[in-house]
Amino acid sequence: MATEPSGIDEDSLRALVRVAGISLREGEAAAVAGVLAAWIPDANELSRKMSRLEHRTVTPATTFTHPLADTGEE
Amino acid sequence: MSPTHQELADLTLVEAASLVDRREVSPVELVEACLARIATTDGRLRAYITVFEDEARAVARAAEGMLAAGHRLGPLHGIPVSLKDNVAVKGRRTTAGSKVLADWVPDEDATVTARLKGAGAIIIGKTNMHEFAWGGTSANPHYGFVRNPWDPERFPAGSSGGSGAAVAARTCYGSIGTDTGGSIRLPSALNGLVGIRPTIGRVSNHGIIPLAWSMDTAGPMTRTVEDCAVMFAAIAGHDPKDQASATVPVTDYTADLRRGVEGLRIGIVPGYFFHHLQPAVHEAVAGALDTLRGLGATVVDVKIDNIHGNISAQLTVESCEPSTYHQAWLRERPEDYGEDVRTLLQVGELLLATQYLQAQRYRSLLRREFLDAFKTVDVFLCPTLPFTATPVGATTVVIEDGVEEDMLSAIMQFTGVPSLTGLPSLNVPCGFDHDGLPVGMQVIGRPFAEASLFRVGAAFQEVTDFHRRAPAL
Repeated sequence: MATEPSGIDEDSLRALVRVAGISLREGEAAAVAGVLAAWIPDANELSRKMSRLEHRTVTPATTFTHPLADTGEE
Repeated sequence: MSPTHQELADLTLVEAASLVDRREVSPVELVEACLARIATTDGRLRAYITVFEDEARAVARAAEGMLAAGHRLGPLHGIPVSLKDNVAVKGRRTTAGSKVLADWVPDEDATVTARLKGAGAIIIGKTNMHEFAWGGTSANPHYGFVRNPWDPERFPAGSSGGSGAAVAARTCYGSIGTDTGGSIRLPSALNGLVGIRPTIGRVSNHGIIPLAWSMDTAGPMTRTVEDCAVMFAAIAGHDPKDQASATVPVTDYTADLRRGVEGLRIGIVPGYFFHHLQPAVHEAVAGALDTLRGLGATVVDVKIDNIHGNISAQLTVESCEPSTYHQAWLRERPEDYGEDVRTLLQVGELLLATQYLQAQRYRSLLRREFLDAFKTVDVFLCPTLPFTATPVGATTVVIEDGVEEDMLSAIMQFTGVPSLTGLPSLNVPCGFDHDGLPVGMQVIGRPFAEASLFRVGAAFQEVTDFHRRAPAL
């Protein structure tokens, strides 16, 4: 699914870490950057998909209610 | 002549409960059989973090006394079961597989624990797990790497890997696992067990250490579908202590176990459900589909336009929510986390709120598509995961063409869909690979239609014997 490079390197990671207010110990930056580099292109692709006009009315699924479970309708 | 420990341990939950009910076997004998199995297997498997030897024996004697006096608490009276160690037991340490909570002793039972006790179950121990349930290998740096009873050089999956190993090794008759992205279904598949992820809100999460609030569930792992339905019935239902608990009435989860699948419509998503699999998994699940077709079910191709993207959404939600829960501990005692979990918690801190909310919006979209699809099918069926058990400690897996893939993304290929949509899903054993390792299929149902999943699974087990085979330990 990923179509773009993540742009995550150790400099950009240091900036993110400062914003989040966490600290990374020796050697941890590479592991975190590796995961972010793998995940962020797909996350951004999903964000672009969900920003399309046809999905404008979709709201986040933070909780579920199941009023008409028998029919699968809501 | 009294049955041997091995004979007692080999009974299914329902068989054991029936013998106890008829007073042909005592709860004390069952507990002793389970403790003997734990003693002979757990040094290698590391399925348990804590075993309640004295308490289980005392409760078993009390259960026996109650039966003698004509009192049966419920369908699980005198049956030894285990709980994943993120499920609270009053007065007993509950670690969630972590060093952070190594000494935490809850002052209240989780609702699931209370309901099992109320149904007469005997809690024999707390099972090992991936630390804080954030991972799929159960390679726990604090309490030992859990091993797969079918081949102890292989992993049991996770995060409820200890529960999977404990039931497969016949050390208890059922276990409660928790499932956020697949943590009941994955170890059920790789240990040859039945395991259900309930509709979200069907089983209370009160008293369970959370992983990701919007996707967390708890459910039973057993050797047969009937056992699973009986254990599920004991824990399902509304709980005012859990604000996400559903008020939809429970149904009789065993009512359709003998109904068969004649006329049932099974949905398949072409291009996804039988795509990117190890050959043995493809063969086993396709064979299971043929078996169900032979029993009168029909198989229907159903297009789900937005199914691609589900793994990314799953990873985003499942990383941001735990990082929120762990925010203080990650800053105050980062060294107390295992390396893999600490990395994932740090990653979850660094994703954007917009990425998280777009993933949550995607969940609504995907759920809508599946609910629409349920107008034309009764259930969906797919593999539970695309590969069989990998060597203990592996962080990558080869699925096809010799390409190594990241374990966490690969393991969620199919289990992420019910997790994101809140739909119930059941793993049923459906075969073995060429190394004798179990393969599982996943049946996905409508909201609160857990009985329909048990119906499919029971019909399949009626004509197959995968669930009757036992690992040679």
